[in-house]
Amino acid sequence: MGRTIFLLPVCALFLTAQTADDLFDDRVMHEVRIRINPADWRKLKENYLDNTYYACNFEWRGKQVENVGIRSRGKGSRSGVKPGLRVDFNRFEADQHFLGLKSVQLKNLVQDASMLQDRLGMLVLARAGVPTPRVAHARLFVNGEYAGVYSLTESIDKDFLKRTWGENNGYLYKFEVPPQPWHFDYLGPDPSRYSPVPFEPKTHEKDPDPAPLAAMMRAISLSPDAEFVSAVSEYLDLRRYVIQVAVETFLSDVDGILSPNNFYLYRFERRKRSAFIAWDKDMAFGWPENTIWLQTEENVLMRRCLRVPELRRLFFETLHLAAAITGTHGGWLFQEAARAYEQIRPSVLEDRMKICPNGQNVMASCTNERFEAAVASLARFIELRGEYVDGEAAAAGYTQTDDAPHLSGAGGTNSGAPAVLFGDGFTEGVSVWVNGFRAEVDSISLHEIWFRVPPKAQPGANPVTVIRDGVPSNTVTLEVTEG
Amino acid sequence: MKPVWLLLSVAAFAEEPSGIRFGMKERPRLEAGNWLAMDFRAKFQMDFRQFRDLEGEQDLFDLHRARVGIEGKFFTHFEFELERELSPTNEPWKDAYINYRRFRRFQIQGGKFKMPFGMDQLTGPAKLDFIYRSRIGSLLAPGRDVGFMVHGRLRKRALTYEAGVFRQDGENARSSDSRGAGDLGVAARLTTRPARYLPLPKLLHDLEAGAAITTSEIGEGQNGLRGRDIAKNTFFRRMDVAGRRRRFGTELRWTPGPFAVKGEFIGVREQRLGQSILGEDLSPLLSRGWYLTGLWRPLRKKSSETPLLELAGRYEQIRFGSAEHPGVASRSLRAGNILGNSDRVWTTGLNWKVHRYLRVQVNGIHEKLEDRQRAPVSNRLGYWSAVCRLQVVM
Repeated sequence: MGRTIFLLPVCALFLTAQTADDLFDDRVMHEVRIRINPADWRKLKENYLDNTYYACNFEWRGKQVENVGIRSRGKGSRSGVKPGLRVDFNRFEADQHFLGLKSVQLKNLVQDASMLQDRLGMLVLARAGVPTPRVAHARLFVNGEYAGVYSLTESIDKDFLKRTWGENNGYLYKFEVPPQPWHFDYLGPDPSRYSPVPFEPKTHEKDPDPAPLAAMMRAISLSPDAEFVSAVSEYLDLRRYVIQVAVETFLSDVDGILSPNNFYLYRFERRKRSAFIAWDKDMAFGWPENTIWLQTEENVLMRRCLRVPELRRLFFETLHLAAAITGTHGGWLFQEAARAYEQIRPSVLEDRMKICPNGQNVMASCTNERFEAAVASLARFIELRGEYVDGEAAAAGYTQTDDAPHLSGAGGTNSGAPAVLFGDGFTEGVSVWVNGFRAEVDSISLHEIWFRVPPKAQPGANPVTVIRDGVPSNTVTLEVTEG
Repeated sequence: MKPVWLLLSVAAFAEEPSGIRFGMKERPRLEAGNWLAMDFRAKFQMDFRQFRDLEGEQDLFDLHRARVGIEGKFFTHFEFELERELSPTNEPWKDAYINYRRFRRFQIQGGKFKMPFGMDQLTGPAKLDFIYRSRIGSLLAPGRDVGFMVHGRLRKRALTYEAGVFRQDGENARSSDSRGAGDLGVAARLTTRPARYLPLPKLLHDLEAGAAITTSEIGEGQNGLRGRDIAKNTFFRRMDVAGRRRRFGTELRWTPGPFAVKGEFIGVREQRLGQSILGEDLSPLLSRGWYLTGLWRPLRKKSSETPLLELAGRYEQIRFGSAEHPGVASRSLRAGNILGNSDRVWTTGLNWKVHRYLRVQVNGIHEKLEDRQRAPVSNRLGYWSAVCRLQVVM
């Protein structure tokens, strides 16, 4: 009895100590339990194209929230067999939160047989500094029955904005694909041509103030070439935009910001300037030989950016930087993929609801063999993509500038031990990347960098790149020996 | 039109062409001998509305009713009515029934007509004291359904009774996808005029009181009654209900001289068996409300049923919530303790009978909701509406 009394406050402390970071911690396979009236679950699945909310209880790590609203979610991923779910903690209670969150997304991962692409895509984008939601995998149980593997994805809402930029009273829009193809063209001065479609307001819904959107599109399409950068920079940070496009291009995302699709736009409080937020990367990692020029000509904004020499160079540099921070076989992204695969594999094999596109690109029941094949294909992408992208950039005329850091060689050793890089252009603040792993730097001189080989670097040839102020060097090979 | 009438006449009364008469008194009338008399009726109500504080609901013109129909008698003891709404609606056929009236004290009616419940709901649309029915008359009373009933009046209306069985329990309970209807509705209503059998002062001679009940079975997957304001904004969503739906109503009408006072209370109790998130029974959904109307008729022709000029005021309240309140109140559709919401409405109005066929009504309406989160105006609980109606009835 005495021990129980002692343990109670400890347990209470443990429960209250959970945070949203724990919910999106991708180091563990989460377990989410939903209790819902069986009639509602049946209705939700039957009417999966509707956005009707149903009441349920949500439980994670023994922490339960009652009377939570859930509805079917997604666009192409909507399914009546394995419905994607939006969980609104404050749907019925305005003040109800869960770990400080108003809502969370339970994505059904039906557009990607590997079930890993969205999570890994977001990891890479976040590494490159692009605002992204947090993603982790979870086993979902509905009324005690296993409903399959889902991803727990952070909602892009005011909580996200506060976490990312420390403010959330600006204007947030979700891009909804319009009925007619549209690629950031100017549609005239009428703001209603831009919102609620394609820019659906997610804050200030009753007063979405779309006029700055019209002005931004005008600047994008109609500003003279000489004034393009200054005119558009009033509304967008063009460097950040090009970086996001380049990383999505590196990821071979055919359904991303260039298409355009799967992004949010946030206009900051009392400012004209907006920022893009990445969303849904489950169509990334498609084909390692996808050209880096895919969709760049259709999209007015990107087409004009690529005609500005500084932005064109930034595009190439970011492609190369993406290759450096992700690595190749045995590298950071490869190991992240392997870790995630090992984490979800038992649950995926047990998931009888899993769905994926078949040979005719139609959603159908997904076999374990297709899951394994998709993971193998993903690993192949990670191994090959960097080399292909670098090759295509070089073929397009990309060479390093004289003021970029340059590597001439590397002295190899074993994991965790000191190693040296030779070259020039090294200054304080450079970072060293060994097959996607960031190395601990010991000392920097004009022509040498001493660093520790990252413990996770695999024995064998590892590509090494130095990055200074976002500008990557050339890549050299470091032989890491068993040690 | 003439060829149509001729065709109808020839087809229907070919055996007695000489007995057919078509005339016009207050409205077109067709008579065939002593066995058929049929009036042609039309009702048009055009509303000019301004919902002052409601976003996106500004300055609306609404063709509220556009109905045509026939009513009359045949074979002496049979009465009938057939009425259809011409403007777009889910239920275009309104009244469609036959009434057998051999005796006043015992009549049998079958077809589609209003279930005997709710004084305000049972008042014809052309005779309403206000442009809009009371909230309880619109939302809680059942309205029309298909069925049959027996009814009659005893001792010069000292007692009237109506009791019937219906296929469901009224259009007002049904949603657009027909969910919400209770099966096999049973309804009964009694009204009495105490002055007919009690020695009451003359002032109370026109006092009339009544009570009514309905009961029906609501199957799994059906919805409960919902709350909507005058502009049809939902302030209380349809909840999941299952079990029995029971209505209880009382009414009072008193018309001393040029004044009139009317009041009504309706309560609806809907069971929620097995409706919790975990499939357990929940406390019933309770919807209830009342209104009190005061009227002054400074100008009235004795020969006319409808006064020339009328000043009217009404205060009403309607509230939705759960019968019991276990735990924390919630807006969830499956909450044990439902966080209720109510609408309190003031209506003031002027009714002017311009002509035999033309009536003008002007109403000012103020509504106040209880729950800010479910109010149609952002961060506002109260809001105004103004409505002017032109009514042409023949």
